Amino acid sequence: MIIYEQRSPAEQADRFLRSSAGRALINHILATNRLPRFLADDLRQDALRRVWAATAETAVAIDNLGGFVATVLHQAAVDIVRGRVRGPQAMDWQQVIDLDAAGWGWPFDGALPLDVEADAVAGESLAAIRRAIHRGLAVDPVSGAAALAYLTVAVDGAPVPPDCPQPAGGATATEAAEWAALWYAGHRHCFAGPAVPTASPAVRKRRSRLVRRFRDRLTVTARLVGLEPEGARNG
Amino acid sequence: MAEPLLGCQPLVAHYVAGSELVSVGSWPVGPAGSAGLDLGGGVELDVDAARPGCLVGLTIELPSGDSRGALPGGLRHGLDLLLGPGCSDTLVALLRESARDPLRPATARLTGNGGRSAASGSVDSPDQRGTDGASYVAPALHRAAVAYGVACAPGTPPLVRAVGMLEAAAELAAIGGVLDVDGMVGRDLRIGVDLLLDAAAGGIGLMHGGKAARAFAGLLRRVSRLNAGQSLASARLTSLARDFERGGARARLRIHDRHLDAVAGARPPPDHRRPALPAADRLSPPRRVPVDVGSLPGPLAEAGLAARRTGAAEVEVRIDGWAVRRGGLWARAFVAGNDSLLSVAPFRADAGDAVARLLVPPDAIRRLEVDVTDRPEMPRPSPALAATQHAIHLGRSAAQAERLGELTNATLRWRQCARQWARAGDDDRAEAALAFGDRGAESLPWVDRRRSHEPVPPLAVDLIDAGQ
Repeated sequence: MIIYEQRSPAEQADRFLRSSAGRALINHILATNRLPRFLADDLRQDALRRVWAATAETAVAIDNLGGFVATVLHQAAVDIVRGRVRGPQAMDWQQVIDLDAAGWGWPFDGALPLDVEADAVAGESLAAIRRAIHRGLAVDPVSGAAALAYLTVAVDGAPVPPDCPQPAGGATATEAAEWAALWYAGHRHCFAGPAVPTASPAVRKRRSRLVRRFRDRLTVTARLVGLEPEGARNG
Repeated sequence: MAEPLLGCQPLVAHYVAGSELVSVGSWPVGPAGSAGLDLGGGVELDVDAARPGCLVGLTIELPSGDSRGALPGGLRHGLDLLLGPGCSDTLVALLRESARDPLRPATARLTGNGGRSAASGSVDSPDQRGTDGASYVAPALHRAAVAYGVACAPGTPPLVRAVGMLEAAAELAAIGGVLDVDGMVGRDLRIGVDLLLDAAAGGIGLMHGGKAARAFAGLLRRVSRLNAGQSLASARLTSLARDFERGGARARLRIHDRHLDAVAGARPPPDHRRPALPAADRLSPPRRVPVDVGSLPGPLAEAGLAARRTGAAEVEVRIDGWAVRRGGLWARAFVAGNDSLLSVAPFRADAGDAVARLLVPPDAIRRLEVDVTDRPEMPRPSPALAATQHAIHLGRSAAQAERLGELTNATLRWRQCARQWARAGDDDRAEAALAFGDRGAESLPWVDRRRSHEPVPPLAVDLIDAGQ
């Protein structure tokens, strides 16, 4: 398995925020918004999450790290004084994005390291993947929920309860884990129900798209934390 | 020129070196937090959630990259309308200076005559912010901000969300001839109408002839006029308004005389429900999973919520009677004592309750902790942040009770709010919350009594939320 050591913008921001200049900036932003200093660590964590979300999946070059961090710190502080109530833009996102539409997601191909060598992706790497999925839940929480459930079945070996739909005999363990992941993420509409015991072609197609989306997400996340499918394949 | 939409003397503008934001502060946010309003063009407005006539501040995003030095014409025009030419001139000078020399911090005191009393190159203390002047926010702006605050809060029922979005659209449309807010009005109308039609299909539970039904009908008529370009939608809204005014003549709208919660799906009528026991008491201790109740957002802190193991790798989280309020909520499972997220799941309706099923690693199931959130991407809050969030929620409830004229309830809520601020370690806001509860806004020396202290009438979204 190949694990790359490279300093991402989020890591640079983390280093900056732990420095004396970073701590002073946090205290200044807290004071500007009249927030108590006890919230410094919450503010730092939220800012790091925002930096990660803004830079993880795009090759964004940060010219001025301190300035960028100051901006996200201010946004995080304003979010706190607003009671962390989402704005109408978030509601618009929920309304407008068609999560069932084809092609919405990350267009990556290739094997998922977790399928190839699940045992090797234990411990720290698995925790790192889960942390990365957690940070990315702002974008598409449903796919994130499915990705976490998939890890729980495929890597942790969680048994699937009897009321969860299972593929017919002959299906692979991976396919069974995918079904469970969709079920626990709330995608009940991509399985046959009591009234319609056999899934229609449209339902099967929808299920296939949703599986593709959360697996793409897992693939991207695995790459973000330094796991490469080639490395997993070659051990 | 017309009077500015915002009035506050003095204002202090801050530019943090290297950042892309200039914040214009007016008044430190009070115990109910602020209500935000995105005015487009990189300008956001915050008003005090409890005294929405008080301006908290403006945040202006600077153009990035090569265009940094050139302020868009729309931004300049918008600032003129918001602040008046004098303050706007000073602010634009600061924006241009910051754009030219982004690594230099800058501060300016904005006054109506365009004067500038603080030199750039030094970041002053927030205590230098003006508190000695009058504060004013145009009613359409602060009513839209408060409507968003109610509509977008976690656990808000779909009908309340719909009404809040429509009300914000109607308020913003009232200043559409002044500020360029057409895009926001269109967005809010679209979301509000979609949510409203969904809610109407399931039945709208408002007391016939009550204040809420009348306010609702009035809002629908206002919105139908805004929607005049779309004749079908406009006709539908007018028709809905007529139904409510007549008492629900159409079969599709089931007008109930009980609170909105009673409309929830297959939930039995309230009088025949099983005796209400605290959810946690129905579970045997070995199967119970701890819930991080301190971090529950908004009204969830007062809901009956419990989690239990239902299998070797499954945990069920149930919120009593929250089927209609479950939208946007997520249950999360963490390893107890740290921030490692193991599972997240949405809520589904189950006989009137909201239920989420979490699949978790079998070897971790005995050391889990569960929470519920509308922001699943966020890390778990510290106890101080959780208390801060709870205090702000209680402050907003108190402010809403004041708008509704429920003064006893408001006083109780302000006291609870004060306790949470004290728990969060913010004695100033704890004291302010007590003052709000005991004496009202008369205790606030900075409020412009000519305008800001006029009683704020309830919004339609307040009346619907309260089920009146």
